[in-house]
Amino acid sequence: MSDCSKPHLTPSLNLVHLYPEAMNLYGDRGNVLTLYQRAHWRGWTVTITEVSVGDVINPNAADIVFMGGGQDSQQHTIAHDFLTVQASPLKAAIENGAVMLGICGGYQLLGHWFDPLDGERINGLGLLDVTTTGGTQRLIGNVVIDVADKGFIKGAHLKNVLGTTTLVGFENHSGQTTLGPKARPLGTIVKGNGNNGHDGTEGAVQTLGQGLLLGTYLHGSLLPKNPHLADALLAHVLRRQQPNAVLPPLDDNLAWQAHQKALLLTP
Amino acid sequence: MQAVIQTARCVLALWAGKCLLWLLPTFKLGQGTTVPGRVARLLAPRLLSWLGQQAPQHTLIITGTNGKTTTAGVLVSILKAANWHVACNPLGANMLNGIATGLIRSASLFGNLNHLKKRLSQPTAWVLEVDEANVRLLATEMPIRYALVTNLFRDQLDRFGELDTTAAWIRQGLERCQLSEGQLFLNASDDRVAALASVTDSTHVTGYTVLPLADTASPPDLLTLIPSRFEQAKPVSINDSLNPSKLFALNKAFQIDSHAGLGFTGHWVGSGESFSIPLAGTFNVWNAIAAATVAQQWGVSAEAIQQGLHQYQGVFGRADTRTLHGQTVQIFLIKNPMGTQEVLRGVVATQPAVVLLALNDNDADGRDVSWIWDAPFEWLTTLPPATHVVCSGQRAEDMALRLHTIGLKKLTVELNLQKAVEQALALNTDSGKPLIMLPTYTALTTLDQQVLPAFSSNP
Repeated sequence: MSDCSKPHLTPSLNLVHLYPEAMNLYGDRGNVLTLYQRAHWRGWTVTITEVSVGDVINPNAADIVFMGGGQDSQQHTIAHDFLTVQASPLKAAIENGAVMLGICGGYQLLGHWFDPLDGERINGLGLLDVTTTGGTQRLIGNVVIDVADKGFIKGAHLKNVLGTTTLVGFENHSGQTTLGPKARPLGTIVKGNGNNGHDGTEGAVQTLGQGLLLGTYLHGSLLPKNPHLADALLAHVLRRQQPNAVLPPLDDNLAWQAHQKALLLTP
Repeated sequence: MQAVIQTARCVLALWAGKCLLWLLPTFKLGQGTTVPGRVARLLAPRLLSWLGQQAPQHTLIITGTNGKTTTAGVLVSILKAANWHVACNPLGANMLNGIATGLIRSASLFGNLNHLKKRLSQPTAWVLEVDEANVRLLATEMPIRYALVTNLFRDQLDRFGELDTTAAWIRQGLERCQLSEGQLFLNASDDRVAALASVTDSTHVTGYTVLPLADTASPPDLLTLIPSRFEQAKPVSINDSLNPSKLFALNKAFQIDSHAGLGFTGHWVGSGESFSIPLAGTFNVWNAIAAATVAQQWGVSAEAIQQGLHQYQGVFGRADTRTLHGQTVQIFLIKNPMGTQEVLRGVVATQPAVVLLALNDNDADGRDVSWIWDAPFEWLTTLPPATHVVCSGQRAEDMALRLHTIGLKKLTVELNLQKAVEQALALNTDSGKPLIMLPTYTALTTLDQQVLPAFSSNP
């Protein structure tokens, strides 16, 4: 006989991967895989939708939208589609409560524009209050940032099991990004260059309606080694479905070992 | 007078290089694959162009992200089977100093590179593996009439920035070569490589391709549900897509017909001429076919090509099998997603009981390890659940996390490579299967120079 105490509500995750073919330069698949598995391991229903040129984001089926980085040439091929076809459904999805995570090229395209060293200005979506200019030097290397007191997701528990508030990753970008007044940095630089190599900030965070935009230069991949960040995104999704629910913990032993190792790397 | 001084300086630098070539290995100070060239070029900056004056008509550079060393090795083996006189830069030392070292090794005491020729009419070739960023530098030092580009896969992006940048550097290098007096050989199935055809007249370009077995497995979707987004080597039809814009005067396509033990058999489309490639891994078929394409163009007989393929001794870690404590050990270098995909294809086919992965993040490995998330390690989930994976190297934790995330259970993390090999051998005892080792470049070097010799000497 089954115990009929409460209807069991299964949380669901609609994960949208934008331009998985063109924007997949630096292990971006690892981020999607990590979000998928961490929800799957907790028994959620997970749907991954890949949106390429020719498809359109469904704003009603997008809890987390992810976009990685691409080579300049590939970024050009998707930029037009991103700014015209996806712009309004993406904006609607975020205003509705979705989280948009953009890494590297994905981060730059969420901002107002990118001014390359040689060539014309490339417009971005302008949802994130940042601008990027091409730099003469590529910023490459290991990065550690501190996200203490940024509170970028209300109630997100970034004080992880180690008691640290660090994020670790690897950066590789020539674009230098500057934040406008509406965006806050994701964290402050402990090691590495970050947004532009001189103001000590890394990444950007901004709310839009019920939702949130996150941009960063950290790959490596980002989410596998930063399970607290992955869970902060999933917690945001869960709260929209079950306001009082908490994420059950997972065995993150290996993830923290990798995180600890990354803290010790030279920039 | 000036010229005499220059020549004297080059000869002295050559002697210094030759001394180091003898000293370094003798006193176990290294393999001496780049230092002799570096010192000699410091003493005489014009050394390379001085030796380069003797570059024969058949001087070939081999560049691209993957397969340079094996392609060069197979070609040298073929040319030697055909009784050519060959100078080359062995062991993957492919920057200018490594190339200088190779030539210093081959030269006489007065810089003559032809003194070992058995007879004047013996055909001569220089086969030089060149780093993608060094092509344009080498091309200003000596006349190069033949060039081969293997592929442009993601590799060490943190060193070069992006693939398009790498392609642009190779293009600049090719523009400085004398290809109109020779031939440019291009992997026709790699769009970025094929686009390089425009550097010279189409009659001086040969495209080659390998058509895979019809039933070649693609990465399983499995629990990840994430379709693997790899650009597979596309099967192309000779008549249409291979030659869309008449970029190539000549196309060579090799159809794989079957797996034969650790190797492959297949035939040239068109002539039907068949031969066997005794190397593991589909990627080695590409390397062998690249070498065979050059050899054919240079008039080497089919018999010599087949003989050279069979005589080729794999460069360590590029396709290496050895015996350790009575167990067969197979070692494959992994360094980027595309190459690793091909290695994993072979690994899954051998159904091993134990796999040792060694991930380092030194400059030569690429300091950014995010590539492991792009390589389809998902394939390992098709192995029986009892399969052990031992993760080692400086970034062993990252490797283990990669495999944990796709649900592999039998994982061991052991940072010390020596201990990791001990564990892997112990786990593999009585399995009756070869132990598979998949190291990145510097982990491979440590295995080769320190770890494995200790096992062979203390059985």
